Amino acid sequence: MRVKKLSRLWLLPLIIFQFTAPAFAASKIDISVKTVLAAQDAAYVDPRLKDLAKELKTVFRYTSYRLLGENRIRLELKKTGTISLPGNRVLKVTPVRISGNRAELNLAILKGNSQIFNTSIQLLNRGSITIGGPRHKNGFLLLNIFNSF
Amino acid sequence: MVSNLLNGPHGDEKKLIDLLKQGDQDAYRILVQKYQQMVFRIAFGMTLDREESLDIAQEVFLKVYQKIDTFEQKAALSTWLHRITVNQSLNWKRRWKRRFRGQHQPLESSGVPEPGTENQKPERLYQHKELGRMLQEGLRGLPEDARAVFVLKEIEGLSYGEIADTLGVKPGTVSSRLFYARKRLREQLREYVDET
Amino acid sequence: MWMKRDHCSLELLDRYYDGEISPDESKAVADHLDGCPACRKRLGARRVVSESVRAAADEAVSRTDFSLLDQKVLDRIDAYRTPFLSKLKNIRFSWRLYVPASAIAAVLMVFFTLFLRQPADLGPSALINSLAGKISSVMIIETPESRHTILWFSEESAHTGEENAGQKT
Repeated sequence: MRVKKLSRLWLLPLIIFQFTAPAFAASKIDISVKTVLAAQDAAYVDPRLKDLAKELKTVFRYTSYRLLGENRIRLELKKTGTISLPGNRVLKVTPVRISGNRAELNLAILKGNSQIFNTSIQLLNRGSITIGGPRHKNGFLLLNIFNSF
Repeated sequence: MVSNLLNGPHGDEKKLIDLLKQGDQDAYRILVQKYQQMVFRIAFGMTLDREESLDIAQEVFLKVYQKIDTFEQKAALSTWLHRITVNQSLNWKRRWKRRFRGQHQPLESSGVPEPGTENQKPERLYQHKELGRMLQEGLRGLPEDARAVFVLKEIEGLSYGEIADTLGVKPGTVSSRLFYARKRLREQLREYVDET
Repeated sequence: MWMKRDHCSLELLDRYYDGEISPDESKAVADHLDGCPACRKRLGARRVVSESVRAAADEAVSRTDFSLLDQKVLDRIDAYRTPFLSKLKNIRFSWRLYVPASAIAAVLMVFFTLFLRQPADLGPSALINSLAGKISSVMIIETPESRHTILWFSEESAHTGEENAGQKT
């Protein structure tokens, strides 16, 4: 009898540990794309880009960061989402798989009907990548792509 | 006395193994110094990552310590080490949290030709460094069993028989896996290595 | 059997290159190679691939510091050697001690996991598997502190001088 009680108690830490263990892999991914115009004109940082601009300023010398648009989409794996970008461009995002704490995404930038750039990345959950930079107006377009699952 | 085992002939291998079985610390030091580069090269061929290959090398020598009593000396010590290294590399690969490491190097905006662009001249890519990069991509895509054979052949220069012993397969299987690996790489590198 | 359209089969060339054919076959292939530029070229290509693979491995070896590996291995062996069970024998197991100790350990585990989790180094925010396009150059940058990944490409028609204006040297 005493042995049985002890064996159940052994399970206690294991049961608690399971609640802190990673959940089963999600099948949908939330993606947010911020389209930013970075330029070397009058100093200005959109308040919504405060954190991103802080990162970018460690590597770039742009003086202004303007948020041109923000799109949020929820995609199932292997489904492609399309986001319009300035300058007759589109961004196509396809989540391929989730592995551990990273999602594999295929990203393609098209201008008109022509694919300019494509890349396959593994993005950290609740992490983002910044892709730049097609020329636009007086600066360059930066796409900050964030995902969570 | 133990240090003589570093350069000695096969007879000294038996002495080394005896000392390893006794848990002699110097013998393990000798073992590591003698085989570390060999183990690393195989692990690197499998993982294409220097840091992970060093970690795998540690695991391999620890495994030797753990399993030395089971080593019956029917094959050479190097064959046994080859086998452990391949297995550890495959285990490591399956536990990979990252597939892409160490390639965050900024490319200069001029000078380095982008593969597939019109400016690329095929003969430039006979330079081993460029081809090496494309080879790495090709190696990554190989199935594990083909990759193991390819690495043991191309990096270690083992014979089909030695590879067969290492992996526990028939020499004919070695030959066909190697052919498949080379065929896949040939297709991958068709643009860069002119065979016709 | 091994000749296809007056050329060596790739499989035969492989085995010839690997030294895994009989002396008679080897001589036959060598004689054929003397008069066949196409097969010689294929063999040359095989050699380039082999040498490149070996060169890549050799380069990795040359860039790696092995000086501390033996000590690290010995440390690992030492850690493995320490008999865990003999340590356990020194601890008196009593269910009166175990129950509250287990419960406290579980609570602490939950606490540290949920509230005091130190951000582990998860690596760069993005890892790049592949990239391609009508681009003249590409740079992959990681910000120093948060390891945020930036992928910068230049479209083919862009002016490289002005593109670099925004980037810190």
